[in-house]
Amino acid sequence: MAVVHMRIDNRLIHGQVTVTWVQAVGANHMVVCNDKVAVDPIQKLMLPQAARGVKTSVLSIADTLAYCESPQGQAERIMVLAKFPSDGLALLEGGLQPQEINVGNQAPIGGTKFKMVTNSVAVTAEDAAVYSAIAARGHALTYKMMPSDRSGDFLQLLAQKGF
Amino acid sequence: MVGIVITSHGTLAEGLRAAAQMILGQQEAVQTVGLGPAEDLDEFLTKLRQAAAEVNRGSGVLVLADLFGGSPCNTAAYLVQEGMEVVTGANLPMLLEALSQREERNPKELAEAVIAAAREGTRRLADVL
Repeated sequence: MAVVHMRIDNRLIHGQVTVTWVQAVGANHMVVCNDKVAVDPIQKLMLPQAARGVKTSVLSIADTLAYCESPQGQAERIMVLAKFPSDGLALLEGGLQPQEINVGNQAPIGGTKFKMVTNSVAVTAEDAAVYSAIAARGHALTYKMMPSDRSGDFLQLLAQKGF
Repeated sequence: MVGIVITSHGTLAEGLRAAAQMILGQQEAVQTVGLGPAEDLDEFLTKLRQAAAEVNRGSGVLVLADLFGGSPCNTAAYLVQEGMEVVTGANLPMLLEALSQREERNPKELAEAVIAAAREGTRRLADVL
């Protein structure tokens, strides 16, 4: 058992929300995955502080894949926080097999042509193609803020919003 | 006078400023920066830097962030690298202390004073009565 849950969320760790998810999916290690964040010394220091005692690592895509495949990673129940859908897809292409994938927050990036598909998820045409590629690999994508929220199919939502 | 920036999720920062001004009256060199539900964090950092520059009257800046580990706090962490003081757990006792002590103290002393004020301001009333 390695990766029990993947959350696509460009806010990464937000204290209470994240801890609720970690408990709900029964994870014992949170891995924040993004190549830029992994080399940002401030974020590497600050992000684990928000995790309220849950073991947290901040890793690049390559290091996330290597860790999840290692005996140590295989012995854990890992929740991966992918910053962008492209990080999530890269991990899947690298062989990661999460049991579940959920789209959390995607705050819009200034200067991009985005559409808000929920209150907290912005999607560009490029993002929509990445989400479709994730779904095409056989993964269902949900979009829940909290684990107890009703689950919806993210691809259906994208279709409804004209993507 | 040390400039004050309050940063929070949503409108808490603005609410804290409004509450403090209800008690102390109109205050200068206080800016608020609230994080919207769908806001880009790079833009948020730019807003924080602008707010800090606006309130700095030459004696430095104290930033009060609402939640240790939250996005406003993690973004304000870059300001610490730029020499500013940031204290987390922003609340009304802290802000009142900051506003009333900022003529006499430097930002570091003010940071220590507001943390003490927050501790003193948190009580179980049944223990006091």
